[in-house]
Amino acid sequence: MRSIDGDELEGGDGVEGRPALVAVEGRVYDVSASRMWADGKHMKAHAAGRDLTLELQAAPHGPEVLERVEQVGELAEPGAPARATQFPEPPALLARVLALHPHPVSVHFPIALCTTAALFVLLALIFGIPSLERAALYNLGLGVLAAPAAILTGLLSWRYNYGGVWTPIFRRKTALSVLLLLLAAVALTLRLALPESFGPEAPLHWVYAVLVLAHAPTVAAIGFLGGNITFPR
Amino acid sequence: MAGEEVKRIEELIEVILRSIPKEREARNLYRQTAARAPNEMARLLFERLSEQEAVHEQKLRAVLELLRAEKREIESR
Repeated sequence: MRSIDGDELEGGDGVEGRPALVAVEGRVYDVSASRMWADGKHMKAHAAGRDLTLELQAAPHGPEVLERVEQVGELAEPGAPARATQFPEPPALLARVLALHPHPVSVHFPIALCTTAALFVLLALIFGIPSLERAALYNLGLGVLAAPAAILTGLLSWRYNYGGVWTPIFRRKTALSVLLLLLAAVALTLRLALPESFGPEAPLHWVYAVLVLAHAPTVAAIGFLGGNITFPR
Repeated sequence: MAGEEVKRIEELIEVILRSIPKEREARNLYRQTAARAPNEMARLLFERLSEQEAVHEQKLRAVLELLRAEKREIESR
């Protein structure tokens, strides 16, 4: 079989009477006679004169179409074979854990607890009952304790279920998770620095209240993005 | 302009990414159902469906690689 180098393949673009050559898995085919390759173009998307191994894997048809055209040579320097994106495989034990869907299970806790904390702070502001504010603090504390598990399982799910590919929705979800942790850290630090007789008379009372209230829309937005990734619309 | 192109590609990447686990889930479900099928016809049907889902996943991963390569190329200009 004739050896064809990269320059010859590139020159086989099917334009101005030149032959239309395509390479697939190291083999070079002449598709000039195919009506599907008029002017060196296939479906207005694929150009001749190139290695189309990966494009063929993505095509709605299989490699059987190559049986209809003539192989005219082999690539002189085939290079590394083009491969579809590979997702990492988790270790066996982790795979069993991920099969239990730990992320959707664990996210319920910070979402519910942080939202409840915001609700109790709101009720404390309206009714001025100190025990409601204390209930908010306990819920917030538990929500913060639950957050690392949700974040860790989310990162593992992203890595193994979505190949760790960084896209806008994952960027937004990560940014909001960081914002949630910052809100919680500042709110808890502030609350612990405030006097026990916490109330509207304390100078930072309103700052604390706003910080806790901000948890509710933040976790709701994180949950919304998670739902967008997972559930059909 | 390049930013808009990258954004358009990222949107496509996101659609592909969100589809791949669903294809895997469907493949696994059909495979498990085939193993428990009450008769030969049902077993063949679910095995065929499982194979089709595997092909879908493979094609989606190939498209994903092409899109990622296109994005890298635009970003390197």
